[in-house]
Formats: sequence, C-alpha cells, structure tokens
Amino acid sequence: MSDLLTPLDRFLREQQDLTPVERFAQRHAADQLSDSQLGDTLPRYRDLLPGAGPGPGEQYAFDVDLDACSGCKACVSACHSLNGLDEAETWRSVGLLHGLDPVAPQLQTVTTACHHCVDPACLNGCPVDAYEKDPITGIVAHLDDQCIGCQYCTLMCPYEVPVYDAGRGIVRKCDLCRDRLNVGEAPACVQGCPTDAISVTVVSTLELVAQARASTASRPTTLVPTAPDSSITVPSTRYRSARPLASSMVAGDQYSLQPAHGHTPLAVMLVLTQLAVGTAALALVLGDRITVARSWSVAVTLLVGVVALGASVGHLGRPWYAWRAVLGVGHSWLSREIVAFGVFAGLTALDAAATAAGTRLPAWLAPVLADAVVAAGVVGVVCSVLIYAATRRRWWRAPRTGALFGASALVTGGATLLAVSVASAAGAGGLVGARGAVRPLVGLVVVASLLKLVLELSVLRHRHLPSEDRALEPAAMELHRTARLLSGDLAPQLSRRVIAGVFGGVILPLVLLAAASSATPTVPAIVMLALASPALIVVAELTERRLFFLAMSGPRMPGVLR
Amino acid sequence: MTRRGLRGALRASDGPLTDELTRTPGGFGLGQVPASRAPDAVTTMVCGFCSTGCALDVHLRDGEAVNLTPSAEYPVNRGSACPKGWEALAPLSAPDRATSPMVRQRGGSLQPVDWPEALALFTERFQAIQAAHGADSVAFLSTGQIPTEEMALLGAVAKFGMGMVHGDGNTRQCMATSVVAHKESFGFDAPPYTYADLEESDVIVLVGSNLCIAHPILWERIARNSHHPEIIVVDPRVTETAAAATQHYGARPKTDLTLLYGLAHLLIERGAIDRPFIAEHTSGYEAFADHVAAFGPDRVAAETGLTLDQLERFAATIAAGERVSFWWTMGVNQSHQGVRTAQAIIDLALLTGSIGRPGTGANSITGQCNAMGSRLFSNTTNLFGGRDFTNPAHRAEVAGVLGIGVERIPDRPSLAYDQIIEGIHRGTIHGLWIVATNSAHSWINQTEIRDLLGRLDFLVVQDLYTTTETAELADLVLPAAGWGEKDGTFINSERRIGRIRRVRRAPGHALTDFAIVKLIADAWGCGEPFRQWDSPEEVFRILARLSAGRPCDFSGIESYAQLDDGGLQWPYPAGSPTDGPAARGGPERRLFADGEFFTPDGRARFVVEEPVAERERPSPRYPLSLLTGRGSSAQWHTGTRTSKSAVLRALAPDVAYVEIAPADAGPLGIQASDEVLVESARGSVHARALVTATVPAGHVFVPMHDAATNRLTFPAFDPLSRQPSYKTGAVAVRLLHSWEH
Repeated sequence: MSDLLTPLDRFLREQQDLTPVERFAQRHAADQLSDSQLGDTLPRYRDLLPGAGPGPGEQYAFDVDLDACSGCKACVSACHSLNGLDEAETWRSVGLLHGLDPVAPQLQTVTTACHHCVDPACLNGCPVDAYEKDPITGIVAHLDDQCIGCQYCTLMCPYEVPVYDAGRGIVRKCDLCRDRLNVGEAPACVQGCPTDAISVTVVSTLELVAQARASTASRPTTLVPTAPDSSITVPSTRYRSARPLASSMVAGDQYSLQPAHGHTPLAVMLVLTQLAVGTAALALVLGDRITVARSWSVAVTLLVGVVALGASVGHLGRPWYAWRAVLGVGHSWLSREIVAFGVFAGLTALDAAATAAGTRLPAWLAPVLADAVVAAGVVGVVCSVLIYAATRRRWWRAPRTGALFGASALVTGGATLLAVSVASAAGAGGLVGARGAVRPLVGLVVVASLLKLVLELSVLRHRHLPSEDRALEPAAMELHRTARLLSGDLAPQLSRRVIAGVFGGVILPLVLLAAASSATPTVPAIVMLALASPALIVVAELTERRLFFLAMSGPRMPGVLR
Repeated sequence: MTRRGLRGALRASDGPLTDELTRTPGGFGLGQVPASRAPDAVTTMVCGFCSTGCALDVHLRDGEAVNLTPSAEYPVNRGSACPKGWEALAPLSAPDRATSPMVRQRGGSLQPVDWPEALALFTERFQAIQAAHGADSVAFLSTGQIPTEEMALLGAVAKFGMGMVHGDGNTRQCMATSVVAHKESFGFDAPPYTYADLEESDVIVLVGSNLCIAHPILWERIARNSHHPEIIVVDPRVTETAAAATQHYGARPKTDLTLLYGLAHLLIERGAIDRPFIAEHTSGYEAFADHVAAFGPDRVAAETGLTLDQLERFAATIAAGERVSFWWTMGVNQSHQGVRTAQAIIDLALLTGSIGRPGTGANSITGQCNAMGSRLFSNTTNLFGGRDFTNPAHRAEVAGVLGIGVERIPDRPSLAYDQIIEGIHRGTIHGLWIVATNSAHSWINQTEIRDLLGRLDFLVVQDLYTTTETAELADLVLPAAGWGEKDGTFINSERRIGRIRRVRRAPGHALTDFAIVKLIADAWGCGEPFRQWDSPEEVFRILARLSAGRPCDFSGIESYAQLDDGGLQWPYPAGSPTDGPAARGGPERRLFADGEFFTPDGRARFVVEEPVAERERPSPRYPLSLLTGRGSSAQWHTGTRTSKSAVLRALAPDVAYVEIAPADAGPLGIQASDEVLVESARGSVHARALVTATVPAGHVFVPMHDAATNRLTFPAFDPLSRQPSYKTGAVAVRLLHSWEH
C-alpha cells in the first residue's frame, strides 16, 4: 500500500501518525514504579520537607534560601505545569531586587507565592467564607466552588496572590500543594527548583506575630526590602540569606507604572449609593424647606439605590450566588456593606410606599422611616469606606477615603436634591417652593466640590521621587506611583474629572443661584441648569471613582520591570 | 444542626470548579499530576532550546504529549529544568504556526499554496539563479536548532545534490570561536569536559558566562558541588551569576584577553604551574611565557580596571586550587578577538595542568541545543565529521562512505555567514535558503542585513512560524514541524548524543525539515544519491559511519535504542560495550585523561597574540559602551518560540529596557522607568530605563531578545572565526520627551 503513495503523501501521513507508544520502550516499562516508591527515586526532596507536621502553635511555611536562588524561575513553570493551571495563570512569581550603591552593587532574585499568612487578609475580607485556614497545617486554601467572584480578596491581599479569572468568575490561588504534602511529596515549586532554594518548614505562629508586631511606619517589618509591611497579614514565608540585603535595594518594578483594574461597576455602585444616601440625608436635614420635593426625593433615592445594587451584583463573577455574601458579616466589611445597603434599599422602598400612601398611615411612621433610611445608608457608606481602608493601602486610608466618599455624598446628594427641588417646584408652577432650598444647596455643592477637588489633587504632590530616606517606606512609594500614574497615563481622565466637576459642581450652581435670585427668573433655563449640574457631577464622580481604582498602586513583592 | 454545621452546609467545598484543580497519582514515578492531564504513557526526550541537553519526561495520552516534567534519572539534569524546558510544548500550539507553504504575492502578502507548487517554485527559481550566476550563487543558512540527521541531510543535498558551495551552520553566531580555538589548540573541535566536572572542581572560573540565566541547569550542577568551591566570575556586569559567585572581577569589556595573560604572568611568577604536564603534553610554552612576560600586573590593572590586589587574589585562588576548571560562553565567543581569548583560557588550563582530570578543563559551554551536531554534521564550514573540504583524502573518505562520486563534493571551503551576506551586497549571492534561524532579528547590524535580504532574487525561509522577522521578508515560506513533532538526535555541550521524538502532530501541512529536504531533493532531480537516507535513524547510522576513525567516532552506536538510557557521549567507537552500565563507560566521561591531544604530535598548543582594541570606542557623540546579552532564563534568542508561551512571557520584562548606572542616568536627567532613546551610529531603540548599579558607569546593557537591539550593534568580527562581536559598540542615551513616546 505504502509503495503506491507519493513521497509527499507518505510524509504528510507520517506527520499525522504519532510514533507508536510501543516504541517508547524505556519509560513505558517503568510504569510499575509506583508512587509509593517516589521517595526512593527522588530522595533529595526529603530534605526539603519537615520531618514532622506542625504541632500546636505551629504551621507549615515556605522557606526560601535567597543565597541559593539564582533567578531561573523554574519554580513558576513547575507550579504551572504540575498543578494544571491555565495557559497564562501563575501562582508563583520571581522578582528582582537591585542595589544603587556602585561600590557594592547587589542583585537578588526573590521567588514568591502565597505566604499562608497567620492573619490572612483574603480570608478576613471574603464575604462568602470562600477561604479556610487549616487549623493544623495553617495552609490558607480557597474554596473555588464557594467563591462568588467579588474580587475583594485581590484588593485585600498585599502580596497580589489571589488572581481573578473572568472566564470562571472566580479567583484561584496556591494551596501549598496540600495533598502532595499529605502523602509526603514536595510541593511543585520545591520539586522544580534546581538549586533547592525552596523548602517547606514548620514555623511558630507566635514568633511570626511577635516579629510582625515589631513593625513601625518608619522601620516596617517586611519579608524582603520593598515588600509590604508584614504587620498587615503576618506572612509565614521565611526568606534567609547569609548576605543581608541592603534596605536601600529597589525592586525591578519599583517605578513601573501600570494602571490597575478600573472596576467600573464598583465605581458606579459607590457613586450611586453615595448619591442616594446623600440625597436622603440632606432631604432629612433640610426638612421643611423642601417639602414640595419630598416624594420626588424618595423616588429618586429608591431608583438610584436599585441601580447601584444592580451594578454591585453585576460586578460579581457568579452573581447568582450573591446571597452567600451574608455569610461573612462577622468579619468582612464587604458583607456588612452589602447587608447595610440591602436594608437601606428595603427601607427606602417602604418609605416610598409610605409616602405614596400619604395620610392613610399613622403620622409617626414617616419620620421614623426617614430616619431609619438615612441611618442605614450612612452605615452603608461607612462600610464602603472601611472596605477600602481595611486593605491597608496607603492611598485608601480611612480618613482620606471617608472624606472622599462623604464629600461625594454631599456633592451628588446636594446637586440631586437641588434639581429635584427646582424641578418639582417648577412643575408646581414656579420656583416659590424651591426658594428655601436653592441657596443652602448651592452653597453646599460649591464648597464641597471645591474641597473635594483639593483633596483629590493633593496626592499629586507625591509625583516627585521620594527623598532617599523616604524611598525606603513602601507607603511613600505607593503614593509616588499613584501620583505619577495620575499625572501620566491617567492625566486625560483626571482632566475630564476636574472639568466636569468644576462645571457641574461650581459654575452651573452659581449661575443657577444668580438666575434664581434675579427679579424675573426664567424658569425653564433654571430647570435646565438644575438638571445639568447633577448630571455633570455624576460624570465627574464616576471618573473620580474609576481613578480611585485605576491609580491605586498597592504594596507588592519585588517584580520584574514592566 | 450546629452553627458550624449550618455554615458548613452553606460552604461549597467541592464541585466542578474544585475538580478542575484535582491532582492524582500520575504513575511512572511522577508523583501527583493534574488529573486533567494524567498520562497513559511517558517517554523521555532531550529539550530543544539550549545545549545543556536536559531530558524531559513527556507525558502522553494516546501517544500525544499533554504535559512534561524534567527526567529524574537523566545524567544531565537529574530532575530539573529551566522554565523554557517546562514550557517546551506551549510554542507548538501557537496560532501563527505555518500550516502550508506560502508564496509572497506582488502586493507583498503571503498566500498559501500546495506543496507541489511550492516545490516547483523553489526548484525553478533557484535553478534559474544558478543557471544565470553559477551554482555557487545560491547559498543556505542552516541552524543549531534541528536534529543532526536533518541538518546533515540538508547539508548533503544542498552541497552534493544541488551544487551549492556556500552554507553556514548558524552556530557562527555562538560557537565558531570555540571551534577554531579547539581545532588549533586541541587538534579537533572537542570540548573536553563532562558536566560532573562542575561538581568536582574546587575552583570554578567563569569567563563571560551568566550561567544562572543562560544555562540554569549547569548552575544547578555547581550548586551540587560538595567541595565548597571558589566560584570566580569575570564579567563587566554584576550578573545573577556574579552575585552568586564567591569572587567577581568586573574587568572592562573586551579586556579579558589582557586579564588572562596577566594571570598567566602571575602564575608563572609564582611558579604555580605544572611543569611536567607542560613538558610532556604541550607545545609552544616558551613563546607563551615570553609573550605573557609583557603582561605585568601594573599594565593589566591599568587596562582592565581591576586593582593589583584583585589580580593577586585571582591568581592566588587559581594557584591554590587542586582541581581548577575554566568555563566560557558568549562573553568570550562573541568578541573581535574571541579565538585568542578562548585560547588564552585554554593556555591557563595547560599551564596549570588543569585538563583531563576530574573537576578541571578549559571548557566552552555551547549555545544552541544542537550546535554540537551542527559543528560536526551541518556540512557547511567543515566537511562531515569535522573534516576539511580542501583535503582530497577527506573528500574521498566521505564519498566512499556515502557512495557518491567524489566530484560532487566541493573542494573549496564555504563562505562564512557574514561573507554570504556580503556576497549579496557584492552581487555574488542571489538566492538564499534559511532554515530554522531568524537572521533579520539575530544578525549584527540589523538594518543592513534586512536591506540585503530584501535585495535577493529569491529568499526561502523554512520555519515553524510565518511571523518571524525573517519569514516576513521571504519570497517562499516552507512550513516546518518543530521539536516534539519529529525524530532525531541532538548533541549537547558535553558531547552527549540524546534523542528527540515525535509526540505531537504538526499542524496542517507542516512537515519535518527531514521530509521537506527529501521532497526538495526529488523535485530538484537530485534525490537518487540520497535514497539510503530514508529515515532519521538510517541517517544516524550513516553519520555514525562517517564519524568512524575521527575523534568524534560514535560508530559503536548502532541504533537509537542504545540512546534511550541517558544518551551517550562521543567518542563511542565500534567495539564499545553495547549493553549494561559499562555501555556508557560510566555516565560521565571527559577527554584527554591520557594527556594525548588530537594534534599531529599529540600535544596541546599554547597560542598567543597581542590584544587589539575594539574598532568602535566611545566618543563624544556616543559616549557609552554598549553591552548586550541574555535578559532572562525565560527567553530564548529571538523569542520565535519562547514568546509564544504566556508563562514565559510573564517571567520576563514585557518592555524593551536598558540598564544604566545611576552615575550616568543622573546627569542625563533620567529617572527610573523613564522612556529613553538609545542611539548608535547605525540605529536607535526606544527603551525604558532600569537605573541600576549592577551595570558599571560608562556602560549600558540591552538584552538581545528585543528585535530592535541589533540595530545598535557594531559589525565587528573575529578575524579567525568570523563570529560577530555582539557585545560591543558605542551608544548615546537620552530622555525621550512625552510627545516622542
């Protein structure tokens, strides 16, 4: 038969014919070599595993001999191949530290994976309890089927360990190859390291906590120079070197500026919840002055609140499991925020129903509901602030984030209420009904807008390289990268935010005030101004909130130049 | 239900997503493997990137590779591999694989054609060029990346069938310097060592070698050295290897020849030389001693930038060593005086009697996975088996073994790579056939070669991808199968012959280079003399016969099956044991244990020459010295394959960058991560500044993997080996304004 084929046909056919397995004599015959014999075939791994498992007050940990690490990065590939990760998924990475001292130039590669922290931020932040820290081994494992894809852990972990996969809608991470350890096999990275630089040891959690507690802002305890402050999560990995690394070393990616994820649905959710809460709160505070607008403001609050919750659910990788978010209410600010805004939305709906029912309900109900709505909303916004503050990222610290979100509520709520007042008054035949509201609301919006802009732009003062002593502080580097991002790649967005904010929050309200104060106000023009102002403000705030995420440059382990 | 129980019920601790990451015992001694890729069989083959020659256990399902792990029992790598090895299967699945022959249309685009049409075009165009300009007006560039059997067939068909005279083995870019140095000093191109020497030495001297990054598994072997060796690195930069060494000497670039002569001077002065060995086994010592007498420490210190104390310590460390080994790589080979520098290293080994014993040697570490095969059997610079085209006896031997007329064998040597390129310029080369190499990226002074390749009457590129910089210039692209899709053997740095196998189907109509060359021979009308070259294994037997009686004799290997158990190092002449542990003569063998070299008098030669300065030096216009080299262990040369793996891409910087010292960056107003322009007299490159003290003031380092790097390099060549001097040139760096980004 084959004689009848042309050489071309023969070669093409051969190319599709994989060499029969039978010809692979050598290893095929070795399949009798059972896995229980593995310890005998690979004795060298035995020295890289602890002799006994952890006792009370102890846990497993990675141990990295920095002097043995030569930067070949086989650990990353071995983990990838032996754990069957996706094509572009990696659970370990290798970064670079280098010195700037020409007299004694230093170079150190640093391999890093999950540090199986004593106080894991991923676990603490998870709203659905999709993380568990094994009480015996200390391994921090992720329950892939429990995850709803909120990605909060990717913000909580200072070491960039959990990575979100949009295809599956979940994050995945290193589990220290716990089932390999269970049967006495070495984790993939340990097997993969040609120079035995990675091993698994047993460490004392109390000692780790004591070391981490010794951390101060000016002298942070870190795993290696430029790494995140260990007091955040008490990481368990031990990095050893006989040649101490100068604290002045810089990371390969220390000055790399890459915008982070924009999290648009979260930006929408944050701005709109703050708008809703601000509108409700100001309506309550201004009380009688805006009686005409009362029903309108409740309706707007409800509508906006529902859109915001929709955005937050849409942000999830697996939204149909959103209900699980109540599970973490004991420890997760994200769970608490979801509960608070759930209550807020429910009460607002009741409030709207009560307002519609009007006089048929008892008189005491309306004020109680209004108070409760605002209380729930304020609790929700406070939770929002603490969600980001809890990440311990310098730019998201509680005072700044609190001022940012609070000012957002005032600006968006004030402008919305102004629009509602003016529009509802105009609908009732003139501006008389809104007269009492215009002046205080314009004043509030203008002042809050300006103060908020000052707060936002103040970070730009960090765009110059930190002085040498401050460059050692990871926090100073975080703000420096944020400022350089905002004045670099993100500058166009920042400009848009400023222009929209100044027009919507300052110029239009002032023009409106002037027009409304005139002897013969032109009602349609004033209504247009009143509607345009919150629209522009919302655009500005959404841009600001996306920048809140995009310009975040959190702490991280040393990486390679990007 | 308890509270804990309730919460447990609300937590999904397993399910389909959890199952995706399940691990299961893999059998075959593999330990746990991903359940989704558990193998039903395992086979072992040598890696296809560098010349270390690690073996990989390829995990098979229904004969097809699904995963791989480094082989635990192979004598080279013993269970380890670098990231490229781990990711070796990934590039085979790239979407830009060439799946059918492609012909350049008038408009410039490539259009698929079928094989008969492509073969007809190949034949018609090249034969027309030969008819018009002579048989030697068509040349070929071979490679160090395909199996020996394929490159031998290519070299045989091109020269003995198609009448070509000029072909280069491409190892011109990495190993030509060592080849020339070995031939003159040892009498044959014979790297003398075995990797176990890295574990046996008490002093290891690495010259121009960033082993940690370039050959990570050889660094593994050093890490296993139980003798607490002194590890000495000579390199202008603080490389990963320099950082891991016990002594680092940052001699100025291209002053290594002076440094080596200076060390010889100090060793002779101390009397730390092996006089009996010199007397019995070497020639040329007196001239050598006279020559290095002029390299006193003051002169050497002034030229290298090292201190007198450093020179003393370096020499004292060598003198104190019992088992001193010297190793070099591209820092030496890619130099305008590389051959003499390599020979100066050999001289030091001869001077101290550091050769032929465990843990010693003057050892050139090879680059490409089959550069050693190319050196012996590409039939380019040398006739098969390290023979000489100009030697009538050699031609007769080859004609006899192959059963072809001796008149088919050219009686003149081939032009070297740079001379072939220059031939295009001079109008003597009109057609070029490039196989598995990426000249438009990797050749020095890139702007010129791209221009010249464009001027050819007909350019054929045979590669895995249609997207290589060279394929983008081709008139005809022939789709080739890659490593993992073909059978054959590679020869590694320590002369070990190892197997590769077909464990994947090539996409579309891609064929092995073996099949392509066979089809071309038939289409050309010269297939008849190569009838017996029927399969890779048949060719291997022919090559074994060609090696008989040569120093590289492996005529004792009669079938591939003999290579299954750890490969075999040459020499392995007929009559060697064919079975049992003795078949391998032990897993590790070195040359020259008897002090007998391959020169006619059996003595190794001391060779010296006065150092000369580089032709391009820093100037006021271009004040900085350019250094180039490997950037990371995750990148292989031009990235043709490694850039196809997402994991490997993640392991290397994803931007072009230039390393610059703080002392140079400051006055130029350059801050870390700034976008800068690196300019030479020949071209410019946009890059991001990596401000670091690991590169000395006055120098910048640019990794070679970026396609633009060779726009900067200066076309200097070693006059003896014709190897390009990639690691030199004068450049200027300036900050780019934001509007220039």
